[in-house]
Amino acid sequence: MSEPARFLAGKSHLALWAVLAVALVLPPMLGSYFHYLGALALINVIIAIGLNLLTGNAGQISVCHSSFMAIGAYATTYYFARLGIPYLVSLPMGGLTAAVCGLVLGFPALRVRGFYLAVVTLGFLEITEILVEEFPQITGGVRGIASPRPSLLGMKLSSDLAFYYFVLVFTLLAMWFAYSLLRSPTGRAFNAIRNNEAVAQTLAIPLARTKLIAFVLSAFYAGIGGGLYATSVGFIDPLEFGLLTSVRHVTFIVVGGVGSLAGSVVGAIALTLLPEALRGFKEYNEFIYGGLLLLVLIAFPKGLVGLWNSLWQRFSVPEKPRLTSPDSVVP
Amino acid sequence: MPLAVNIQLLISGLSAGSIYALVGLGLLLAFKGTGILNFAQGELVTFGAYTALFLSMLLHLPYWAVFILTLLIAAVLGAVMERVLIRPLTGAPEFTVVVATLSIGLMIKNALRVSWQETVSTIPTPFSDMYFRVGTISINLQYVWVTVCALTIMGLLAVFFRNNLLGKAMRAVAQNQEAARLMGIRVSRVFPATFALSAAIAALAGILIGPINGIEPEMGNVLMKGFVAAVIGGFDSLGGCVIAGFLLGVLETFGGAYIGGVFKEVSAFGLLTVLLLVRPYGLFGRAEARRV
Amino acid sequence: MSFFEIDALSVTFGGLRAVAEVSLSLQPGRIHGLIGPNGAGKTTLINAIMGLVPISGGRILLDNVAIQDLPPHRIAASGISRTFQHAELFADQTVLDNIISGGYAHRRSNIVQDLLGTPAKQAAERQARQDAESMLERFGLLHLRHRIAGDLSFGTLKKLDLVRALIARPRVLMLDEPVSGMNQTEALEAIVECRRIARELDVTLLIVEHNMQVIMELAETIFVLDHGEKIAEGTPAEIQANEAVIEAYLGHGSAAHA
Repeated sequence: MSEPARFLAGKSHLALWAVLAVALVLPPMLGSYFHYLGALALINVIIAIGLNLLTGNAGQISVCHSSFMAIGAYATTYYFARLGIPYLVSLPMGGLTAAVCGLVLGFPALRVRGFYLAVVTLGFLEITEILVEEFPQITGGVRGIASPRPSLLGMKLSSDLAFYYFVLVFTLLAMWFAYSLLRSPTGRAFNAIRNNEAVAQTLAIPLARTKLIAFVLSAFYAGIGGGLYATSVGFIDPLEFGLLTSVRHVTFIVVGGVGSLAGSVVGAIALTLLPEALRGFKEYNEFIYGGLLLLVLIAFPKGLVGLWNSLWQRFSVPEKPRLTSPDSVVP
Repeated sequence: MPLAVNIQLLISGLSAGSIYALVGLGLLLAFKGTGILNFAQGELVTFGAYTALFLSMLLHLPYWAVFILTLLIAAVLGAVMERVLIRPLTGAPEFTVVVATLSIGLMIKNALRVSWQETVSTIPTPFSDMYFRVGTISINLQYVWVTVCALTIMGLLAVFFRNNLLGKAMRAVAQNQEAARLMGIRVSRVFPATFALSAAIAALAGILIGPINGIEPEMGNVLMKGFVAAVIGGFDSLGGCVIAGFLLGVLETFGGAYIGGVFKEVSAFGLLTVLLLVRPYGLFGRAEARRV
Repeated sequence: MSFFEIDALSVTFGGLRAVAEVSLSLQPGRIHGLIGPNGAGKTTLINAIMGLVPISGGRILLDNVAIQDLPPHRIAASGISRTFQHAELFADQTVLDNIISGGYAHRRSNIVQDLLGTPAKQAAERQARQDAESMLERFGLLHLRHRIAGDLSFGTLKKLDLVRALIARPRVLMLDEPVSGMNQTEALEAIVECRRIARELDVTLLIVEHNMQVIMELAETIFVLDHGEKIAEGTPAEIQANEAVIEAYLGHGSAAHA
């Protein structure tokens, strides 16, 4: 069966199909606030996928994911609003700018692992924050900068609904690339170096190059997410991209399922919508948010997708082997 | 700059360093003893400060009573936290535990914020307005108290770990859980005790910072500095953490005075990044080899 | 022209010489044994050949080309594979993914194709999967392919480790205690499979083993290490009669032969 066919027909992907259907059909029935929120959720999906590839699959811990989001956001805004480069070029360029910075982080990151790596990424976060403030001619400094909506094919994307569908296209692409990657030698190399670097090298997997690819790729995802975020919100400032935001990103993948593509999607959507749903509780909303998070993690330590997987395993029938030959040695 | 100012900077730096050392110590203790990196540690500092505030402002208790009671209450909170919230996560992936402790921290911070709002408060201490004069140098005793207190507690801890049965049990569990269990140590009793001790140390830091920096819901952000201290110390040796904490405090204070305000924010990470590039495992840490 | 040769190889940790000027040569397609008392340096030697531990002296030559200074993944890519004492499969991956991972050296798609999911990449994936499944089938393990590796028994994992190493179609395969954890029946079955592999796939084997019966039965040439030095080399019969070997084992308190 070809890969796209397997992607479409896989039984555990039924849920993803349901989500996709909802994502396509529901928004026009709702108000513009939900279009905006939906776009935010999808942007967070892109960002979460990037982080999950780096941390969940390649095993490289990073708390500076929001920095790459920031770089993408500021770069896209600069290319589009300041330099007048068409948006459809500015956005990928923003992503590439972030990706190059991912490479810059990647090299020192090669020397350390575990939480010393976390610390190095923390340093990168700090440096990025300082740089954003030190170059207000590009970033607007602490006061922030406006990021206007583009026109595409003659149509201005100022409508939140239109922009939502625009983001949806990128989200689907992001999901496809990640899906394809995880079922490829590169994706398996990610999982190998996470499990055991020495063994991975014994399997001819180049350690340094694989780690660098992971950093660059995840930075690209975050950069695209950041560019879309800037355009969606219309205004960005350094406060959006600090440690707290990076921690939120980590929370997306932990609650969704570390190392799982579906986990990135579920976690990002759930945790974008949850704080909005809790707004009614006013000043207690963070307490409840924290409490819910804690309960979910105690109940599903492997994330929401872990629950789904164990349910499936309980109810699915094992496949019969397809190959049989007279030469097989029966133990 | 004149000597008097340098001495004051030193005292102030040592006092800041004491706080960083204490915060880092509490974090490191819980980590070594239970394997858990408790990201709610900063909020435990905040909790300690607000508890002290409550006891002294609302119950009007004297300083020494506030001091001891706060430590006890924090210890209880630490033990309860371990037993009720963290124990269910045994065997969970590391990331899950990290986010869980972050959630606990969020809950504590929000609860405190809702109870006390955003006003910055302080606790009265015997040393607040006392000054110590040596020639032209005038030293605020509060800073001295912080340093002396911190050092005393660290000394007591060292003795505790060496001579006390529970302390030795904690060390055993920190080194090798399985072996400790096989030797008859009730690991399920040692874990809450370790968290209790770690929380008490955090609360101590809170009580000490309060009069100097003020008490407000975000004061738990000092965790970052404590974390940096612990990492520079190698995230392995308690002594290393203490030394690193003092180093950080002094460097930051002198840097802030001689170079400028930005230095204070940057120095912690600047120091850390530079150090890690040169010695990837901190000043006193060792690499862990993976045998195949 | 030599096929695979180790020339005066030394590995030093601190002041300790784990491997001391060991020289040996492998005959293509043959089965070789590497024995010695515990701590003799056997696994260290294998790690050194794979580039996982730094070498303090000597050379490793494949087809007369020195490979000892290459990074570990290049050494592996040049056709040298190994299995592990503790199997070291990736516990959270399925058996199939574990096995396919072994074929990285022969990957037919580049990073861009992997990301885009082009038809070429999809075809390469299908091929890799088929390769893995047919290799699993040869060992009667196909039915386990969707199981998570961490759930399986040690003996099964040891076999899977072997399958994974073979997927890379290595020229030289070093087995680190392949039958540890197996009972005598399983161990003897493993001998049958090992001999078959060497013949069918034309792999040169170097087997580290403590199970004397297996080694004497299987190996055509045996090297003996003690305290990091090679103290003997020869056929099984020669080794069993060798005084230095007997002394090394008796001197360490273990039996000389099964």
